[in-house]
Amino acid sequence: MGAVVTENISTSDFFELVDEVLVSIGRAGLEADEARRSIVEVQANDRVLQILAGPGSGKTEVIVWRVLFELVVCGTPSSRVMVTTFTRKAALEIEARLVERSDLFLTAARAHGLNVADPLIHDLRVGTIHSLCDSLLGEFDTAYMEAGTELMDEMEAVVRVARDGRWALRNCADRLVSNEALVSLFRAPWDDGRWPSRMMERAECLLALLGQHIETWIPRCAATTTPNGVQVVHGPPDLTADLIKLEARWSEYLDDKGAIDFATLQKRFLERQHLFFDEIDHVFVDEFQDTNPIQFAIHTKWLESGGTRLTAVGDDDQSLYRFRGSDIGCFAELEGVCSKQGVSFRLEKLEHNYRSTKTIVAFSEAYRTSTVLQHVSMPKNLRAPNGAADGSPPRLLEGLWSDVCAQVADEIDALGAGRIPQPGGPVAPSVAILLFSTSERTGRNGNAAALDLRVALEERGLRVYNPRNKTAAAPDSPVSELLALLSYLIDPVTRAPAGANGRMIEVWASCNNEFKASFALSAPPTFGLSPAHAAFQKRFRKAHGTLDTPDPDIAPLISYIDDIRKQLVDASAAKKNGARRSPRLTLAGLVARLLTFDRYRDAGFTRELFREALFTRLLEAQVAATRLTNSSLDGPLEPERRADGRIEWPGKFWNFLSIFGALLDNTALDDIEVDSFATNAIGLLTFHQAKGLEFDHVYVGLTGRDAAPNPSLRTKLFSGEAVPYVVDAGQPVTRDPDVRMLSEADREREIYVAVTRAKERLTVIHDPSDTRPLSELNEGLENLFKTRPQQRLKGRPTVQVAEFK
Amino acid sequence: MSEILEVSYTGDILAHRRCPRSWSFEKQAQFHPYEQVQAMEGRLLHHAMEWLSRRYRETGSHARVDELEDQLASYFRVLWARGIKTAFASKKDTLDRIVANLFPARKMHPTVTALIEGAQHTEYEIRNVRKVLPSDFAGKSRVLLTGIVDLVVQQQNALTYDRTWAWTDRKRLEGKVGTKQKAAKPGDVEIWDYKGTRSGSVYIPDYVRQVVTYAAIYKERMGEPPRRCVLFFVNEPIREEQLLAVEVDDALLAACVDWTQEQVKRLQQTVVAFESDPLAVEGGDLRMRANAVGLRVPVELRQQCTACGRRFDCDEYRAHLAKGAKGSGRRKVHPDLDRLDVFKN
Repeated sequence: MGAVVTENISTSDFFELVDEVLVSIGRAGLEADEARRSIVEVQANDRVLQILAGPGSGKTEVIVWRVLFELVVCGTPSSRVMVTTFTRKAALEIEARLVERSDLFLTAARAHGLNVADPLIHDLRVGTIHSLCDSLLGEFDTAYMEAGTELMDEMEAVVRVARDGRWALRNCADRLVSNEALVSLFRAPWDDGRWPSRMMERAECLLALLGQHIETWIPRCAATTTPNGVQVVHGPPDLTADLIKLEARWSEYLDDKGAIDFATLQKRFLERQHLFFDEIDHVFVDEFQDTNPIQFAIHTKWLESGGTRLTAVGDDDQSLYRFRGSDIGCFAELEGVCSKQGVSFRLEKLEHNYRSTKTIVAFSEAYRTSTVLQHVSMPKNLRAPNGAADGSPPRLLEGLWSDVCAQVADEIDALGAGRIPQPGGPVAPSVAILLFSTSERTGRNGNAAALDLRVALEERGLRVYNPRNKTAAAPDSPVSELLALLSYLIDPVTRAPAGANGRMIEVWASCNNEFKASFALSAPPTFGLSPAHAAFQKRFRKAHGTLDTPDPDIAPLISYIDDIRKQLVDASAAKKNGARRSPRLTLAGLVARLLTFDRYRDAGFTRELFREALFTRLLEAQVAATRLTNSSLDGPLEPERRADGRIEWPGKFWNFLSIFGALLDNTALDDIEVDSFATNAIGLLTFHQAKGLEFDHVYVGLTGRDAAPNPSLRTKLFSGEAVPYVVDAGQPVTRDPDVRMLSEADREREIYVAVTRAKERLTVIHDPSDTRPLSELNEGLENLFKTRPQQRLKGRPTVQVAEFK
Repeated sequence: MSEILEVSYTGDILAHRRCPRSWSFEKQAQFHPYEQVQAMEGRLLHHAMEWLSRRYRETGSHARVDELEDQLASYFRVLWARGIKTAFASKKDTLDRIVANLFPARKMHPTVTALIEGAQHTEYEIRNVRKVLPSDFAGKSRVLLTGIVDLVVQQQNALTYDRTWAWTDRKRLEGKVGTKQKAAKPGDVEIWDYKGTRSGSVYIPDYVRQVVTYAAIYKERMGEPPRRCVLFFVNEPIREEQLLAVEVDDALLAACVDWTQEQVKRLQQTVVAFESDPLAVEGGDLRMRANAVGLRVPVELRQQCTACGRRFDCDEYRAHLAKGAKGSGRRKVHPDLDRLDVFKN
């Protein structure tokens, strides 16, 4: 907009000011650190800079200063610089750091009489790759913008496939889902071959196939029409063609609905990227090790634009997301791509760990160099900086799981964590318990390990944050209950003489049995439904009385639903007879009213409250799925009474019940991840969730997962490699040494990420007698402790402790 | 988990001041609002100004009214498809009103012309980080304040303002709308904020403090403060009352920053109260806490309350409505609170 006066400053002035700022905030300047200084400086011939940044090495700080160098020394307008982060939270951290450093830098510059123009850091494009692709397409791709294309989340995508997949994706979807060799690759390693049998599982499977096809096969094989490796190894000969057809139909469906999912968004962006070549000068990519092939194609395509620079930051040892399509191969491939394209390439390393104590750094290095990671990692020399505190030695606590849980809970309680601090009082240290799985579902082997930990912590009055617990739709959850109540509104289950010889049995309109349905209060739908919603309804009502006589705790709710149904029917009839007013109550409006009944309004600040909120969000995902149609679910409820006295509901409400019921029944639903609930709570987190985070005290458990080949096989086969494998008991099995090594390395990286989250104290927890899944001690960890003497823990002699000194 | 407390000026500070209860359930507990009553009109207006400015910048000439109409019709479809809908008015009424405000009698409003020609930045995003004591802010060590200045203008053909903000208590940041005229000088840099309300809004003091805080942050970034801030009440039918100029000086800037910091603290107090018992957070305007229950819902908040999913068990709203239902022949339960009333959502 014209009048901004830009005055760039010299490199030497820049670094002088940077040092002044860093020293003023108690950090070491760059003067004595040639490696960091070299990374911050955007050199004249820089096209690609790859930064290998070990854990706790201060990569955010150097990214921030390199961005500022680009703006205030090179004079690049901020809207032409893009920073992609792995999560929204990481974007927030970088944004905040940029604001802080920029403001301090400008103040320091002015104090030196330097007139530095505002770098307009708010115009920087900072975000996840999906949000940045969406915003660039929205800004520069007229068709995308005018279609009002809306980026949808994974839940909405699943709902759409379940709802519309049969007609939108047609027979190729059926063929692919019934291809056992293909589907086995996408099963969880503990699944015995039953997945995907139910409606939502099928939808999840199709989306997984689409994701891997779009994100791996398309960038790597489409141009050369290399067939999918599964086709070569197991057939059939038209498997690749079916995947192409599936993707085309999905894309056509999304265009029709004005919606787009994450995978398709990236494909669309890659196709249109040339339109934005003139708009971007420098692309920063954080967590580059977790790039998938289509993202890699996007990042390297910028290099075709002539002058665009790429700065890629990451650590190959912290690559965690192969199971979601990322490929560590991309990280190592960057130099080769640059060489092929004749683009200059520079590799720099950040090898000091400023996060953890010396002993924790030594422990994590010992782990890394004694496992397969030593053979697959890029060369590096990770160490603590001079002057770092030695700290307490990492330890292994072993004993019965119940004793270990009690010990962990006592220690955390003693630290003062997990409670809301008193105003003005001391702030407790941050604590997290990291597990491979934080599922709290009770299984054949009894309680889940994470549930035991939760119970031990809550018994001491400590607050626990574990959103990925897989139990958000458990029978006693408001999520299940609210669905049960909506099911009761539309299709109340009653008892009627519909059994043999007029025996009283349960009947409902959508029971998929014409005779039984004829006894129901509602008129049956015109199409078959998933029976899950009725199961939720029956379970809820029977858990609180009988179908005929509800207990007092739910009687007001049942009675209210009966009343509201009557009001709706009467209002619709009156409207038909010429009344002026129409009913306006929607499903979401009804849920808002249900939440004001004591059963829900008295939830307190607990997980129940957040589950009520989750229900409102799940409902929105259902509404969104029909947003562009003429039969939106956010329209009013208008049931009508038929001549035979039964109540008729429009098909969209039956469809809603079918999908929502199946969604809750078929999906191990997690809670929403919300910062307000996490604050002041003990984090019970998966290794994957812990990525990018750090805590004063870290406990690591459930380290014993097998190195399943599924994700590595998927990467290779969808990259067109014909890797031999067989399917045994529903799982893919291979002898391919490369796949086996990759799979083992993936597992060890998870442990490595977990142990490097600790700043002051690291504790591994284990019960040698536990036979539940994942409960074995990881071999690499076991090796580090096995030569250390074990002793009984003071105060709890049933627990043994070994220290890594 | 994050050390950063992200606070949006409009989405958090102002929303919290309007109703801490509604803000808590939506922002803290993440309940999805079931009626999207967010301002379609406000978005259209901001888009119109952004588009008109860009058009002028790129072509050197002003857009015609019919071109703006086409652009807005297209953008209306985009918003509609994204689930953002007009609360009550029809599409035609909404678009007509915006166009009429910007192009009265089909000619560009002179104020709009001046804005577009003097525009330095449209949608200038304000971000500011303050370090705070974690013990005062629920363990958070940094507050990231975000907001968007609609327009930074450097006057070319200087405007004259008929209404100016008169501070009655500079320390407590209180004041009133005065009628003293103020003529801008060419070259004056100003921060503008568009408001979809009328010029008599009860929230004007909050809007003034907001825009002066933006000016303070602008100064930190640019080294110099703007000459003044201007609130543009786009839906005000009386032309002379559409603009409100707020002169600023260093002391006022500092006082507004302190005031904002205080609001963040109060917001955190609400968070703590909500964490202790969600039902303990009272509804109604935060500024009216001294009033008796039932007297904390100003007219403008009423529009929000009537579409609020939490209205059925809100003591403040119930008491507020009860005051209007005292006459004979009225229903015992107001339709807004009647859970069995199916004629209202």
